[in-house]
Amino acid sequence: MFDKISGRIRWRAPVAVVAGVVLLAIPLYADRFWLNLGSFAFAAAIGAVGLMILVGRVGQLSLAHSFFLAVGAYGYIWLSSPGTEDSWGLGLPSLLAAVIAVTMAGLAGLAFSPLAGRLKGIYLGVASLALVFIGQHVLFAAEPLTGGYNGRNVPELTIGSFQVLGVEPELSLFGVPLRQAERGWYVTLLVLVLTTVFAVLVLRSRVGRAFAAIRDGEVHAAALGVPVARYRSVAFTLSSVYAGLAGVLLALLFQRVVPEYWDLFLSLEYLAMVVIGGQASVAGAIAGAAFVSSLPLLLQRYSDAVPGMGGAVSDFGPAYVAQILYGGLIVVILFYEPKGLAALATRARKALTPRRAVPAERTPAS
Amino acid sequence: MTAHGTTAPGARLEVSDVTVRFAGVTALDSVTFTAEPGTIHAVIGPNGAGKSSLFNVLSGIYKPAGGSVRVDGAELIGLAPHRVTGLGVGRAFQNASMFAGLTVEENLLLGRHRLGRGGVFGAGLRLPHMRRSEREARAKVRQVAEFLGVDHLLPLPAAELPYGEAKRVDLARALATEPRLLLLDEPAAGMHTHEKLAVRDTIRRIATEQRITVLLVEHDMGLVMGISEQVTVLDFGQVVLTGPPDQVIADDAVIAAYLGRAGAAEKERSESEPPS
Repeated sequence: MFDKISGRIRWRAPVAVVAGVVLLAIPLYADRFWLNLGSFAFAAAIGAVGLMILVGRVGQLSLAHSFFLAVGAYGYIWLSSPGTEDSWGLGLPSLLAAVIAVTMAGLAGLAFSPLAGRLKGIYLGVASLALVFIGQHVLFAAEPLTGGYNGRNVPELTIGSFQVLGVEPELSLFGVPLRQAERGWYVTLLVLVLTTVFAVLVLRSRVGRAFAAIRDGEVHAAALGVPVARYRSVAFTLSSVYAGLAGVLLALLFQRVVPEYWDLFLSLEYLAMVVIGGQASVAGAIAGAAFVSSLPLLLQRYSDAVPGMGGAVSDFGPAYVAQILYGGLIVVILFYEPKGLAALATRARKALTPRRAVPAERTPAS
Repeated sequence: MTAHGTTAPGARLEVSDVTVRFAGVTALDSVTFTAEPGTIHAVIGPNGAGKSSLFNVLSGIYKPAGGSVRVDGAELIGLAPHRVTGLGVGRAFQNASMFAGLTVEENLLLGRHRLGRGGVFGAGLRLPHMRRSEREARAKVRQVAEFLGVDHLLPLPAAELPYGEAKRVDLARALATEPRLLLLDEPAAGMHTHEKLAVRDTIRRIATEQRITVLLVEHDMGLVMGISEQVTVLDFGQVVLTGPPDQVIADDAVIAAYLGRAGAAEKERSESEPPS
């Protein structure tokens, strides 16, 4: 037992340091394609961690994740854009707009708590489906907000005259200029690290234990004094805050967003990230997000090398092939390894740790 | 030692006229009894007598059609299950179901959930009040675990516990809520004889050392008779009688409930006509 515990500590610190150095050094060597790939993956991972808390830790299903991503994205656009005659905007400072947009996503999640608190598992999934359809309808109908089918530009994130994800003022690191792609990588990585630490601390606390207790046995959790409905809505709200943050970052990275992106399929993509990651693991959700969000981009880049795969616009394009691939992967995972990518890490660690672990002492105590 | 530092006296449990009906079946019919503070009070009865229904009423899971349940004068009926804990009622369940995804320690910490402080922000930002609350909770949980002799199990995944250990951990988890009244639903169910004796000793220690009122819902007459101050016998949802164990054991109506009418008749005959 103690071998197992210290083994975790022995492995974790060096692995974290090496991973940190590699992640920080990548922008010095990699080209724009890989940096953009990473930025999208980091932003998506924030959303995936939020959904993982709800699905994997509390045992609730939500199909409305894309709705809350959209609230974050369009909240930011609306608050930060200068308004014109045919497009709404408040023209707030962009950092303030980003913070309020994330808060709006959280409030939208909180507003759903009468349902999110009472409905359980798949029933919540069905109810949350309504949000996606309402969201889609509103996004297409509210042209001054979203620009309709044509989409709308996303204002840059600036602090004073500092373009957080732009080129001004010029910055460089070891002689490598930090432009959009490099800044995108560092900023999304920073936000991902902060939100991940926050999530891990929450999940380890009494709040996280209450979540797990509700998932593992609602009646017993209540019998121990855990207010089940309240924690269900807390988790739903928390997950929508994470979605809203991911939505803001994705919008900033896209620079232009169209309503049809935030549809049911996007929710399913996030569920795929969580399932592939192993449902209840923070690290798994991040790995799942990296996999699901980069697969279509990788396929697109290397589609010429894949025989029979057409360009981006054909029926058999990269996006389509990516869906088939991770759809298939989900089936394989659910059949053979429900703990997903997280289980692979556990196995690797077990294989690498010397087998000295002795079963814990089980003397029958008085 | 006491797990709670203080010796808060047990609560008085007054069950009066509690009636539960399911679609025409009366599971509990005007059930009335009182468990005195700091005593062990058993509720026994054959299968289907209404023991589990009573337990579920006392847990806030069933809303009875009528009657009242008072814990030190405070009405329990109408409270949501998670609020019942707030009256000082701790519960250990028949199937001892652990939260499988958590360790034993985390299971016990859930017993202290209501007594802890702090929410999402306190946890995510590691605010001082939350850390203090966690530290206290871990210390208390260790005390309770030591009291019941399950402290060596604390780091184990709860899903891996054998049944007997899980029952003990379940009891520890109920004690961790710092109850003044402890409801135990068949604490010895599925145990063999020497495990039953250990359970009996544990229950006795809880009542004597911690002065907690224990309401024991049990099937096993033998276990109950050895430790209970008072026994309430249920049959077909009605109280047959409440009294000390020796009175209960000698009562014809109780024997009838357990052995059936024929059994009681048999007993009568054998008493009036000694075997020739």
